[in-house]
Amino acid sequence: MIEFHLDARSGVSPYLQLIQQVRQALRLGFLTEGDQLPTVKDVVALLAINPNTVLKAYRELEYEGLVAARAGVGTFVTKTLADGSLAAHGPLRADLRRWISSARQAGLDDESIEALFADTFRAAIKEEVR
Amino acid sequence: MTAVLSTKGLGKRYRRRWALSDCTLQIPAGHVVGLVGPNGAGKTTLLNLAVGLLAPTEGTVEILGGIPAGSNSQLAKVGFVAQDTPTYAGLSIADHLRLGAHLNPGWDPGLAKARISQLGLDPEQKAGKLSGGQRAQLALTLAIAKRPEVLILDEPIASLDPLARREFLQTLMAVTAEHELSVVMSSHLVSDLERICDYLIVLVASRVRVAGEVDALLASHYQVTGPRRDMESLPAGWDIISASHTDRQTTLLVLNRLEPALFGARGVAPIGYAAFALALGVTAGVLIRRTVPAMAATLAAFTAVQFAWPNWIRPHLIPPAVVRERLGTHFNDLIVSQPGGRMTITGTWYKAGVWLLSNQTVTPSGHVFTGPATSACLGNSTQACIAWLARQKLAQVVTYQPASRFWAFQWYESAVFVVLAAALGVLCLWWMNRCRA
Repeated sequence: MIEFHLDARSGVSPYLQLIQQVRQALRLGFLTEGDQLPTVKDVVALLAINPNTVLKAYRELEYEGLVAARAGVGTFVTKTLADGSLAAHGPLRADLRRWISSARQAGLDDESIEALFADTFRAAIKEEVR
Repeated sequence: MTAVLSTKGLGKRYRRRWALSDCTLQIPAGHVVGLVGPNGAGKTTLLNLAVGLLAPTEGTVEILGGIPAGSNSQLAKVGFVAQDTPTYAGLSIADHLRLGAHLNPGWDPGLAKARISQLGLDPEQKAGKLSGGQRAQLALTLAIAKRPEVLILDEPIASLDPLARREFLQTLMAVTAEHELSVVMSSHLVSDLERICDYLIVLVASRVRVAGEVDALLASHYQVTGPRRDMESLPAGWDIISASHTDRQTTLLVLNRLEPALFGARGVAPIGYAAFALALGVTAGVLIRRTVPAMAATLAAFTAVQFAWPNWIRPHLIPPAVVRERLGTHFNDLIVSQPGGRMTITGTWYKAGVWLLSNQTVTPSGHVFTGPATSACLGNSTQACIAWLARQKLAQVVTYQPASRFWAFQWYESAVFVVLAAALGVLCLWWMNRCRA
């Protein structure tokens, strides 16, 4: 089971944030087929948001074929987005952690780290395209 | 889906001052409704009228289809927490629960006890000794434990600190999800309402300024910023709600209120209609020569043309756009025909600046959706029904005219009718010449 969180300052609407978090959990293998999503009641009790927002997010996911609702039981994952690369995630994550700690040692703050990563990522993609 | 609260021309006067006037509302069930407005706008008055604590000076108000506080069963269906969440200071929490059990036919003692222990409150404690947040939670518990169908809250969170506010809203939303309550709450705290409410009513100076589903309101209101200019006129159907200017910039809040009915209602098209009607009357008079039959013929011909025009002729002149989209998250009507037990759905569709002509729900294979009424949608659970509908992978086929064609339509339409009028005029002259000869 995953736990949702909302970033009020992100400017992304709450229902999109919920969808993103489910998709991300599916991609990273935190959620796999057969896992249950938190019930609507649990989500609203945690986040203090409108139940219809959660329903909207779950319906969207259902429409994408990622989850299915079973009446009276809950909503379950029906498809996984994680692929064969999942095994490589661990070492990559460790590398990234080392990189982050060395960035901190060099004196970068959170925003600089994010900016540097995002910029390098974009530049790398551009080069790959060429 | 019935209305939770419906008012018609509702007004309340205290001596000379009108606290609420000309309030007409229809709030559908299953929403968390936010009622906002400055102090003294009439929020508390409206809520007190809705629960029957006040009697209206004019107009009518109905809650769940009945007169507020009209009968015992009616009272049992409505939960109300007044401003500043009043409790009896001298009574303990347990006393409050006992009181609730005696006064309410549908009281749920298990729910009340569970909520109190969940909040970590001591049942023996006097209500007067509770903190503001705890007192609000107690008042909410009492209102919930009577198992109402609609919960009305008057500024429940205004006096609470941010933490207590969050806890209160968490409880409120959990209960709303579990028991499928409708909630109407007034508040000043827009940031909280933003997350909680899916329906918004804005009261300003004792009148309803805006009311509607938040999604629809957001889809029809736009904030526009650009180089400084005086906005004397906007295209038809766009209204300026507010405008502010700096030296270089103009910021506008605009509302798009285009509706299909606007086709004939504004612009120059009515000139064409009038010319045509006049020519038709003259022609009928010349041809028939007797007043009453001529008038009847005129009326019949005009009605026939006005009916044929939007239904057959106009769509051929300028074919409407057709898009296929998935069924909207909010479908507003589920129509179940009772004898055969078939059900059909009409979805809502929001797109700024279009005239919606038709909106049909279709299955993946492209057929108009109609099916045997499923038990999921016949029961009381909206959630079960929505879940079932989502599994059907329904789409909606929407036919519309973009608003950019408004003036093209207007000129087209007036031209056609003026030409028709001229043709009738020529016919008249020819007929009169023939008669004279």
